[in-house]
Amino acid sequence: MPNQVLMIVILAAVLLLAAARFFPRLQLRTVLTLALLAVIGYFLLITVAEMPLFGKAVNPAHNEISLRYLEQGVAETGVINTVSGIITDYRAFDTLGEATVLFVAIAAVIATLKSH
Amino acid sequence: MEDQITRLTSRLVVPFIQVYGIYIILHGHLSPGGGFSGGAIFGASLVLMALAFNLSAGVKQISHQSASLMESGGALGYALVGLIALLWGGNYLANRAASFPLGRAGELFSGGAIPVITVFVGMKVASTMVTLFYNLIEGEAKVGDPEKPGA
Amino acid sequence: MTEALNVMLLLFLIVCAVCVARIRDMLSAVILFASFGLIMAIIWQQLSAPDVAMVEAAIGTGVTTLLLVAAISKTRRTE
Repeated sequence: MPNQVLMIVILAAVLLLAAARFFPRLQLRTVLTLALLAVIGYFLLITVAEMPLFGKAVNPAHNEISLRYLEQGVAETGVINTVSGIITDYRAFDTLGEATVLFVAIAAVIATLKSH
Repeated sequence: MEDQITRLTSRLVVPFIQVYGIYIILHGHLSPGGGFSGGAIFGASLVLMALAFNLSAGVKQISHQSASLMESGGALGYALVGLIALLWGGNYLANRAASFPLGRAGELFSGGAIPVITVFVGMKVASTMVTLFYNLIEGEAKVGDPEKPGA
Repeated sequence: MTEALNVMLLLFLIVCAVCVARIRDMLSAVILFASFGLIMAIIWQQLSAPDVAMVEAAIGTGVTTLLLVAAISKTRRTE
């Protein structure tokens, strides 16, 4: 880890020096902005690297809830499309809220745009 | 828009789009899709009619009155299905616990309340698309109309 | 092969997103946003989520484009 940071710093310094050499009209402010952005981006990328890998079986998303849906969803809802079973049976109240959002949105549009 | 090619093409294509949308709504519990996507496809077909011909052709397909009826009816029907579940002794919007007949999984008439809810959501989304588009276009037509200033 | 296709789709997605943010012409931005939605739908399908892909293709590409074009026709075309 410290080696990587050192390498990044050296690379950034080399890049900055090269930029200062090849673009003499480059302002110090621009260079500093780019350097700051690079540092922020580096830490963001570290965060991304810590996230669980895509599609692995040990991910936190694969817990007992999805297991229950997949194993007993057909028996409990009677539909073979598990997604449909979840959004209109297990989570039907959430879908009602979604429909309410649509309703309120269209009411606002009519109240704003109706031309009389 | 006065384009013969667009009109002919959309006149040919619109029935197929509508059948596809209805198919997606009705098979929402069997295959990928459901109320939201099927309703969006159906509403897009009506909007295509209004775009390719003119606004009155689209309004002839589905009037403002019936659009708002579908809008309110979809939301109301959804809530009523939940109330029926309460009446039959389950929680709000319960399905099997409220003894809706589930049927055999995989058939068209199965799943108890789920196909009913899907149809209501499809109605609602389709009329939402149509109403949004009509209202946006109509305001412009009235502003640009020299016959009726300040309408 | 699938890997290469996915990488190309993601690259196209990023390019579309940057162009939507950078372009000055609103109509071009809307069309670019439609292509963004189409690529996104294909990516959802690649992630084996056909439900989301269908919604994205219908709403994100079709209806959103229509409504945004209608909104542009009532306002100015350039920023």
